[in-house]
Amino acid sequence: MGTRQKLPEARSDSQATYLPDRHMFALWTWADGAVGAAPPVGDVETVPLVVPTPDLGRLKVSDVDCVLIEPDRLVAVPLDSPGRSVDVWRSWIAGGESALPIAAHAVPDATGVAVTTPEHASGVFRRTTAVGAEMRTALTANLRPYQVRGVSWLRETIETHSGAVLADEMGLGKTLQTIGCVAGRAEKGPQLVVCPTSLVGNWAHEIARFAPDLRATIWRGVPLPAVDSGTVVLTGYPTLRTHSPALAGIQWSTAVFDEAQVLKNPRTQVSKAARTIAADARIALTGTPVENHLDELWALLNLVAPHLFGNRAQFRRRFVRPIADGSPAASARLRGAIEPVVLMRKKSQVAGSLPPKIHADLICDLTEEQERLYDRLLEQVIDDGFGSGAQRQTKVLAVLTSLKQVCNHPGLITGDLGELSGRSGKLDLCTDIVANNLENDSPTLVFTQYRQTGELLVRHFAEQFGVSTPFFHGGLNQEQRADIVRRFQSHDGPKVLVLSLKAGGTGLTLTRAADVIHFDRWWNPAVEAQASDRVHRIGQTRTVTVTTLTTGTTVEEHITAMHNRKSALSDIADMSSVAELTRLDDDRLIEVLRRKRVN
Amino acid sequence: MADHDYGYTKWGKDWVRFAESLRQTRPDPQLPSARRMVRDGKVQITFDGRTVRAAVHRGRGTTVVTIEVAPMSAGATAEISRQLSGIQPLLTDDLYRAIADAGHPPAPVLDSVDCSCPAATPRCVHELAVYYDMARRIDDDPRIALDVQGFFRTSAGGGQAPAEATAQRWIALNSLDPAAYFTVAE
Repeated sequence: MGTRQKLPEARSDSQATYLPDRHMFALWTWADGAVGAAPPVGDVETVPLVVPTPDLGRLKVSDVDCVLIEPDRLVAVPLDSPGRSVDVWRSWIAGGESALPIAAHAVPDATGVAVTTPEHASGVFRRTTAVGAEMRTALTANLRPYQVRGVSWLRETIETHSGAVLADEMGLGKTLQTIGCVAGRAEKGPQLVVCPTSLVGNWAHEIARFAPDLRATIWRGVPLPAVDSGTVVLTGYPTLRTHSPALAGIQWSTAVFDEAQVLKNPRTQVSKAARTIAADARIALTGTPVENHLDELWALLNLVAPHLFGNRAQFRRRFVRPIADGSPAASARLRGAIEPVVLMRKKSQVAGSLPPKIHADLICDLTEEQERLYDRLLEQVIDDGFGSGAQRQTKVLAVLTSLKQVCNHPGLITGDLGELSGRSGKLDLCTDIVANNLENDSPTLVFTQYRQTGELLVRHFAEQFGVSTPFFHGGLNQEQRADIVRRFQSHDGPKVLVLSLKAGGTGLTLTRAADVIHFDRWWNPAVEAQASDRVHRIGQTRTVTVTTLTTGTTVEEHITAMHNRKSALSDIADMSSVAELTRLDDDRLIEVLRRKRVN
Repeated sequence: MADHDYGYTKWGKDWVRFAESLRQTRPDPQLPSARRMVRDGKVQITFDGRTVRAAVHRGRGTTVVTIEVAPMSAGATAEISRQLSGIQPLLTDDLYRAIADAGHPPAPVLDSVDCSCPAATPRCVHELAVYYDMARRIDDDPRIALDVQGFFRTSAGGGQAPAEATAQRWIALNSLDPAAYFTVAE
């Protein structure tokens, strides 16, 4: 209490602390020797910062009420009596380089014994601002501030450690950040992206969309196409496993491993193949919370930066065992130790720069079984013709339905529903997402149009995760429906809920979930949006993530394209699109339905 | 098996060596009980710069062991700073070997060891227990091995700082002046 001598300017000053990982500023106030209320310029959240004790005798870590804002807003945001830290950062934004007081860089390390140096804070700020300017021309997307930081972090980390693990929570745009980094390295040589087979098409799509100057080539194990600077080779893990010798002798400038938790066991063939790839820089992407799977984390670290972390046995003794025994000191130590090469951000941390709803439109690939079946169905249709008159519309609708079911799962058509995994690119991808959400304790809604698909999902989730998933569909009576909703909304309710788009799309409030997956596409975007709004309603406090799954090269892509054309017009009758197709002549119609071959 | 519980890293092993000297030829019956005391959490260590103070509880009594560690040689400090510059976030065994191979083994030297117990033997069980507990702590976090030799103080204290640590990332809380929190120190 005693000596509160020198506090000349401490009357409710506003302060600005730069958060390097998020490329945002935390605004807070200091009044009469203590942290005051956050300035009234946005949503309040608590951030651990280093602040003085009331007598200014010592510094300690404490949770501070802050408002987080993006750098662009710091200059203009109205603040009462801005402190030196605010002035200094405003001058940095204007291009100056004044010395930073501690308040300006008061971010503590994981163990709470150290604070970010002013050189690090200002260096990150300057480099990230520069990368932001560069990305505005290099990519055709507007990066959010934390994404710009992701790109600059990847660059810095690759430069110092030649490897990096980007472990942002799903939905924050790891793919986009990686493309930003890859685009900047195009001149250094060919680059390689390895991902689950069901995502290869999505990578090709996103690269074409965001960095059209890059040449993305899908490699499926045929002789490797000529690779040179500016080329990005995309391939799946199974191809890597079986054809890795073809990659020997190529020096890649960058190798990216998406969904790298696939490589969690270092003894598997695919992990061995991954380690033989010669690359100047290795980037591993994962959305699973790595802190919960330490052996997996070690495998990733060993893949991207083998020189940094001793052998597995030591890693286990030092971190895995004490953390399993519940030592908080050991987990803080681990966070400190991996911090140089692992960047891990959560949606809640960057919520200030997220819209209330994130859309993730994923393109998945057909398996060979699906391709064969899809083509066979279409051949048959060509032979039979569509007929004419009223019969034509019925026939078109039936064909569309069966093709869409092939995209969902081939077993829905063939009746072979024994083993489900590995046969539908879409189901596998959806399973990965749900697995991820289960890890993160994020309840998930999965919408489908088809009763049979819904039942298949329920069964698959039970087999994969041992969870019992309720299915909300039109065949239930009012009481059963109410019961499902009530159970889902309760605190320890089911982790996954499957709904039929028609029955579950309106009226319900399911705000316990913040994640929605549309397993198949419906003609009218308004119907999908309305279904997504089951979670995006009053009472929802988190950022909602809406994922749509579209099977590339198929009729589903056609549906998506129609969405994009008419998403502004929400009143279009559901079936008008089908009617439109019916009016086409047979040849044109077949053309729409036929698989578009890529590469 | 049991002897691997302490000193499974090279950094920790240095402290096990104080208890289990390589010159020792006969088994020391005090060692197992010293290790048991550590396992049972009877040793509480606090650091004050290069001074290790430990309260060792045994039976009903508590004894206090004080160990002064010699400062690290300038050569070793420079070598470790060079090796640590930027790239090595963890002190691995490989790094230990590299430093030793460069002619600066980072093993600590003890200036003095003192125990408050009345034992007449040259080495008492309390002292041995502290060596093991130090080994255990250092296995967990090898930075302690350097810290207790004054490594971080010399390099953080400016002046003699041997490494031009490029854009150092962290600075220790206790090396900052709270008076410079809101304004820039002159």
